[in-house]
Amino acid sequence: MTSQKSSTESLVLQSEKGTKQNVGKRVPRIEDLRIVKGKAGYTDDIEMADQHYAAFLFSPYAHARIKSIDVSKALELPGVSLVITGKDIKELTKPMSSRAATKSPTSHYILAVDKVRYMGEPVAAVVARSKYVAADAAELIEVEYEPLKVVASIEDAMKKDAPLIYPELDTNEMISDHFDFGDVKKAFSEADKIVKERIRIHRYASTPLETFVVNAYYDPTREELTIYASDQQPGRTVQSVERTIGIPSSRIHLIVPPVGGGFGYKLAIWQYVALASLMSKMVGKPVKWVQTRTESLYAFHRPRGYMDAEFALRKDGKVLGMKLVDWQADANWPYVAALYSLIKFANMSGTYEIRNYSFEYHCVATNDPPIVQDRGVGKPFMAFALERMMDFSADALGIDRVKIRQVNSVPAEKMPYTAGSGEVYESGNYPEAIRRALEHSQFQKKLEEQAKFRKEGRYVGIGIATGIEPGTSNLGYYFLSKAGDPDYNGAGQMATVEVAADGVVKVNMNGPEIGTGHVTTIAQVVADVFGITPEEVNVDAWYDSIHGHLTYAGTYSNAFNDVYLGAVLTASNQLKDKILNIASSLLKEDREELYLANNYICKLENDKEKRLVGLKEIARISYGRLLSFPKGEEPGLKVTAGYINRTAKPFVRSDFNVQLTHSNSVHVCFVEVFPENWNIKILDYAIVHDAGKVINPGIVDGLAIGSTVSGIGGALYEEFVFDEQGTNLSLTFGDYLKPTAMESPEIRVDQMESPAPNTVLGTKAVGEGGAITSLAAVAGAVEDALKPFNVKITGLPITPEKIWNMVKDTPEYKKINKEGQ
Amino acid sequence: MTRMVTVNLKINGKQYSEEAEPRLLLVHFIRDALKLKGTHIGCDTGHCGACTILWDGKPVKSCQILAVQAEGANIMTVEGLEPEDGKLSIEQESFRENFAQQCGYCTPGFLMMTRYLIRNNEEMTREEIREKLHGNYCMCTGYQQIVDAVQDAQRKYFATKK
Amino acid sequence: MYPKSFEYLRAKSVDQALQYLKDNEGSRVIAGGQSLLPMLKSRLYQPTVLVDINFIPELREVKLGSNGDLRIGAMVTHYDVIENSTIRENAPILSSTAENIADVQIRNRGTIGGSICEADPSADYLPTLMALDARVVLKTTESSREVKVEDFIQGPFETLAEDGEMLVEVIVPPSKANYRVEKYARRKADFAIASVAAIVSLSKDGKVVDARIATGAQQDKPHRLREIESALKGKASKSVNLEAIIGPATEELEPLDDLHGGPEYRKHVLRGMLSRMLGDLLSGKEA
Repeated sequence: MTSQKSSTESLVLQSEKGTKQNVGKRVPRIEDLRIVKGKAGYTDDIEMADQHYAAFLFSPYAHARIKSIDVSKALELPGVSLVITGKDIKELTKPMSSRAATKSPTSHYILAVDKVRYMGEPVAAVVARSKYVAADAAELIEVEYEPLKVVASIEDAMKKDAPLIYPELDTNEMISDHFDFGDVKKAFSEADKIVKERIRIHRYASTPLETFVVNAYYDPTREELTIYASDQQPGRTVQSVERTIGIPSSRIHLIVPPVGGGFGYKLAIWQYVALASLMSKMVGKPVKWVQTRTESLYAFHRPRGYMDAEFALRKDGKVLGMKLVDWQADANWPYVAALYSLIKFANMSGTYEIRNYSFEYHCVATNDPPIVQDRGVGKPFMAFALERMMDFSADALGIDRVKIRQVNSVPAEKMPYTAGSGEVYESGNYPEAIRRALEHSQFQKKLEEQAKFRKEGRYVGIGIATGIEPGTSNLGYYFLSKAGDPDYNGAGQMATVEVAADGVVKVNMNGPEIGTGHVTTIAQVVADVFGITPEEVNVDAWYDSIHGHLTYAGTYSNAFNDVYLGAVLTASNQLKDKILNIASSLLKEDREELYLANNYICKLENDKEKRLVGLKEIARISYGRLLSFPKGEEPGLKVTAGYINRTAKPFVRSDFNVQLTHSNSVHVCFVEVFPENWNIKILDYAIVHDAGKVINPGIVDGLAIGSTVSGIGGALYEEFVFDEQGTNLSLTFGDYLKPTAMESPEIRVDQMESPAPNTVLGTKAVGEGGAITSLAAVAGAVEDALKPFNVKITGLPITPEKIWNMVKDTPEYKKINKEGQ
Repeated sequence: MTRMVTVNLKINGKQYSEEAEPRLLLVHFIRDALKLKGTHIGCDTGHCGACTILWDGKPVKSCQILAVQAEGANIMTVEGLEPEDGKLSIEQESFRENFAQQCGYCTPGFLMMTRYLIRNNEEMTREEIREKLHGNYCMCTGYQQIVDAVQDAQRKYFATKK
Repeated sequence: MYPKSFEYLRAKSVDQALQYLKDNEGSRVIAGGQSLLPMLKSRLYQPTVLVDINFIPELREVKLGSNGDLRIGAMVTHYDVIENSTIRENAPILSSTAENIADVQIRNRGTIGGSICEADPSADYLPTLMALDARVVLKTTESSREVKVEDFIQGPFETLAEDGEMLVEVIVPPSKANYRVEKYARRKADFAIASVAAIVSLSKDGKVVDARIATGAQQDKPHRLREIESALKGKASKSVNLEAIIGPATEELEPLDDLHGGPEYRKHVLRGMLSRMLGDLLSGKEA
């Protein structure tokens, strides 16, 4: 494998020899040429011969025993070829098991068996000749339920006589643990002040515009399963399909066309991939399922939960220590139970130097629907809790909310900084980021405006928040609770680079394209390696398992800019080496003098570039004219290479990096609250974002803005609301409110660049920062606007009605309403 | 089985005549019967606008209309935007130059809106553009670069009129 | 989401549509379909026969009656209500109301008749039409009758229309008086948390000559706020104590309770809107 150092050097080398450098440029996206023509080609655009369609019947109850299912009417409907229920599933498949929890349930299958645990759990499935007939058939299935007592909250779940979600576990608490870093006791004994608060997080989700789509065909003539799916983590899906339905992974061919939005949601599709695959094998037809919007809103959200936080403070604002107890209702789908807590413990101190803290977590099963690793997973709540506590601490000490952040920021000279948990912050300048944010947001001017507005009786506020945006998952935190050598890790990926027989450079990143600009980003990097233009690089937007992948291949965990680029560069450099070796043999030229530029093998003669032979000619020889092909080399110009970020640590509790790169940002939000209806308007939003080296500013700006608006949605609009029977009341976009262009502010982004020393190009995580940092910035701003009412915001979303309920009994409210008369 | 109905309509300048069940949605007719896959489905309830098409020049949501109701209609989908010379249209070019799409699933709907809006409005402010686009959801971009693109497209369109 | 099967009948004239409705039990009219389609798709509503009235040109007409009343065909779209100059001149409040409906695309397809028949408690048109004292024309193969919009709306999604009866026209007495119409919702396309339509005429010496005020999203159907109207009528606009009127007059309301807003909050918002909007109208500020 080529070392990281030489990868970077060869990039620099190319640009020195007269080809245009593409990395760092605002190159228009190549994939957009297809997208704007309506020819992106998503999974639902693909039809197979004799296409059949699946439909599911979903449980209307949150908790119920299935007494009986009558499928006879559905089977009688013309065009229906199969109906399956939990009875078949119990015979034909293995139950899901947990990855983190030591106690793993044994009764949760891909289709409900004997009982349902959430509203929207699939209970029966149908295959029919058309999607309309499949829906008709699902409606004809008759299920008799016996409703069970619903466990509607963490508190309910922990009661002594609480009904059990998984009776085989004897408890609703799937797993809990406690970590201690530094000397917490001492920190609290030395504190001038202790601040304590319960911070809450609600259920919300990213809702990509394309829902789950899967199209599976088991071909009996080849005994091979071919699947098209809008899947973010195909490597893992292949393993899960093998484990649940028993088709060997070597006989599974999984293809992922461009995905219409991932955001983590598409990590949960594997359950339906397994179901469609199984049904295809049973009926001998290709089976497609396109999830409806309502079906997509049933399940796979972020969990609701809370954190009891206690901060030990010194008079000057220094946080001496923290005690954190995290409760998450994230266990009603054993597969990812505990993830929302576990992902937090190592990064809990954020951008601050807080050496002493304890972190305890409890992962609880309720009748809330399943969760998925939604954009940033537990980190938006992590940052929300930490940043709210910074605000409350500042208020309690009577110091400025900006000042407390400056006092606690990890000093630049301590970089790279190893946090108390063992997490290594590889680079960055957090105090400088705050300074730039104050400047970029015109903070001082905002303060003056605010003072002026307040005099006019307007409620205007400023919020500031910092955030850590980790990337590349070490994934091994699952194994902190489960002993053994893990079968998977997110610290590596594979990629394939070739010069095809026609001389075109072709790349497959062996991971799905989910809309984050990978095609263009890769094209820019590979173009620099080969000395060509990005448009000349043919980057495949499709993932195809035949190219080979590591077990956990997928586009997730903000890892692209680290491990996928690492794999692409590794493969590119290996291939370039090979090409130059071949050229050197053929031309009898010194290998060291040769380089690639503009599709030619070149060398410098009297400081002038001389084109010796075309890349096309090398390809022709390498693939076809084998008699001319030099000895000592293998024919063909295709390299599949793997890459590992070697800074991933082995799994030790006391010294653990959950993630390997760390972008950071500072958000400053300026809002107004209108006292007629208590609606909130964001007047200005400024971001300083440091994601290391930026390859394409157009793409990175877009991700910073887009992820911020997704956070604003969570902070102000989006919530899945349940009644006490666990009924999900938010099943359309009329009831689950996404921000539209009208609710989204104009966002000003200032990119800072602190290159990562541990990635090949100095790049870091990009796609989650806004979702992580924005919640606290918005909450802080609204709270500041409402300062005359003296309210405290400890939960989200902040709706006008909630504000009204908070303010209506305050003296300020009475004062303005009296004046109003 | 219900009676099938023949639907005659024009899409992107081409005349089609296809059988449809009365309950078939226009968007499914366009995608599944006519194989024009650029028009997408995002929400089923008329909120998201991914299925936006132009009907006699005006944008409508094709998942909120039955195929049989499109008898005699003159429709344009995203596939009809591209000029015959193979270049991008003003709207397509502006969306690309301004990074107005990430996953691109919502893009055809926004492009159809843009085609309509830039031709039927005086110069729009950013706020006006946001107001006119609120029936189209984008889960990726946060809308800012889409607003950039629409503004840019309108400027380009006006320049062709000078 | 996929609707259940139904028969489809395309009417070319009002008479044909009425005949279809008479001949087919369980049939239902499809107008613009912007509310009906989601209900068909979720299968909450499963008609056996749909009678399509989109191909009847006369239902898209806007005319002035001999007595000066506006006569708006049932199939006139929200877009046309905004743009049509006859409507804009004779009932500008109606055009302003239509601007608040849903979004550009839905306004191009949705119709005034369809929206009225939907009888949604939070619908945009209803408070305005009530304030305008508008009537609807209902026809069967045999009969034709006029009903006040206020009476036509019976409750949530319930109207006076009987089997075989179809709304063909909306009759709006012209009103060029000063008005305000607003809805409050979290996002523009959403159903109102509170909505108000108010028409107030002042005499030259500042007396309230006429006040017609209606609200939506406050009860199971939109309705007039007559207590406020009568408290205003005849008063000198400068001397009105709005708070003293609005508070008691809205006390008895039992607003909707759903995840978009609880009853108390809805009432709070309504009071704020009334206070500001009526305050503006009483001071004679033009819209």
